[in-house]
Amino acid sequence: MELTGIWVSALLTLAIYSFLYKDNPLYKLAEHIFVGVSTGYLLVVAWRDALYRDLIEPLGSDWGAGFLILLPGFFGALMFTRLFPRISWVSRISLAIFIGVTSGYAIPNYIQGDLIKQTEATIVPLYTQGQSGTASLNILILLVGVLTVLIYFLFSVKHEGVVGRISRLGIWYLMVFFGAAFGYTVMGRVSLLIGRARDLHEYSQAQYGFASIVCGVFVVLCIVAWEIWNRTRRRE
Amino acid sequence: MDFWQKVLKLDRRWIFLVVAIVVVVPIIWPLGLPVFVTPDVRGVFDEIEKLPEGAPVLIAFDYEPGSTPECDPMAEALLTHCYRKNLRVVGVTTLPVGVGTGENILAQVSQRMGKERGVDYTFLGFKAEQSASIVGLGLSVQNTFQTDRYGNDTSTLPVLAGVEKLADFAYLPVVHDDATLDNWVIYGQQLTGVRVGSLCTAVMAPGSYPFKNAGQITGIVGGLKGGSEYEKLLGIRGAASNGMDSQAVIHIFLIIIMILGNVAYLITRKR
Repeated sequence: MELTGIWVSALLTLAIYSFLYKDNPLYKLAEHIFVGVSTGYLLVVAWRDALYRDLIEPLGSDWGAGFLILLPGFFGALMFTRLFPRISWVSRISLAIFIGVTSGYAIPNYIQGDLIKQTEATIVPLYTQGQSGTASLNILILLVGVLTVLIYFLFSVKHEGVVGRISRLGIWYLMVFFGAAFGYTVMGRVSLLIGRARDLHEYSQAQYGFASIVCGVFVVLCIVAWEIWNRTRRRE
Repeated sequence: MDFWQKVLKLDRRWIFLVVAIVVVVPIIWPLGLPVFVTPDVRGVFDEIEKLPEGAPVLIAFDYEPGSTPECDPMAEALLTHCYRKNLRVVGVTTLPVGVGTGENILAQVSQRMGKERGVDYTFLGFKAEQSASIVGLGLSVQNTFQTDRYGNDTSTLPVLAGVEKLADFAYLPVVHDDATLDNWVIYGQQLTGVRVGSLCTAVMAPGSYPFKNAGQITGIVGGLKGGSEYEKLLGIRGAASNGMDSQAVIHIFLIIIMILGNVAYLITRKR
């Protein structure tokens, strides 16, 4: 069973990577399999770990506590009325409860955790005894960055003169941030490639029946055959 | 067409081919490049290191299968560290796809280190609506998860002895590939005071730094690089460290072609 999974994994990985040459039927097949399997997996997890575990199973074991579970279950079921245009308005009741509750606990906590706490972190002394010069410089750079970027995003004031120069500095800070974020993104994508390459290298061993090599040859032959078929069709 | 114009018109498939070669060669012939540990990774490592034996740790496995090349090495290193310290490990996820990834790595490492399910570790599973589940854990672990993923009653599990709510956990490392850290910090750390660490993909690392600067998380293990640093602190050379050879070489290649491309653009533009 594990060996089958390894062969399927190697074949689908190489089929997806065949897109780097050109969009082709093998890539499309792998992509469709991925979408289908992901959807099926999510459905199964949603049923097993949410609906069955939190609704069906507790109801089956204790009817006394049933009402407490049935009420949210009922409102959850009302969401499915969105699929029927005539009665889709009913789902707005469930949505209203959901949005109301989540806004209620999200807004104050996000203001506290994301806004106030972050603002607190910029209000620090530039120098304290025993602090290194580098640390003080970092705090200054951070403070200047926060202020200039905030001023850049102040669109109620025209960006000219002093405000214009300050917001230009804010843009430079943003560019540095985007560069760093892009660098991290490239590193992340390369890491994913390294992970797959490492697995393909492992699956090319004799214990796995040279899976990567055989699947690689198969993918290449499929693409060559497809190209020949395309060219023949075009000539006709 | 001169050299610079050829550079600009180069078919990208040649670059893909060179990237593939540059990635594969260090995997087949490892270079053994050194790894240097940063304070951010130390922030997570030291938190685990200072915990007493038997302390309960809640690990959130909030990543999808597509991120396993980056997150699995970090999770494996973290779990190895926890088990070396004989900590009690409780796994949870707030993503449906995290069930497979979390359960898989937890079972793998636990089996390798001879740990017993229910006594040394367990996996609570997935609960819908991320923020509500974290708030629920903050109020009561047993009410939010009456049973663990394997059907055992959480009120009687030895691994959860003395743990009633989120604040009772000694540490909460979050292994994530999207913005779930925000919810764990906002609803977990802020409301209950539990100490949180971030083990994330490289793409998510920039988003974790504001929390680190504000003292809301103790440290960041970012991407394969972070994983390799954690492995170095543990004294092992695992998947992350081995992957860094390819990472270093490919970064040098990318820097060279970026410089080449920009120089070619500037020269051809001047003409």
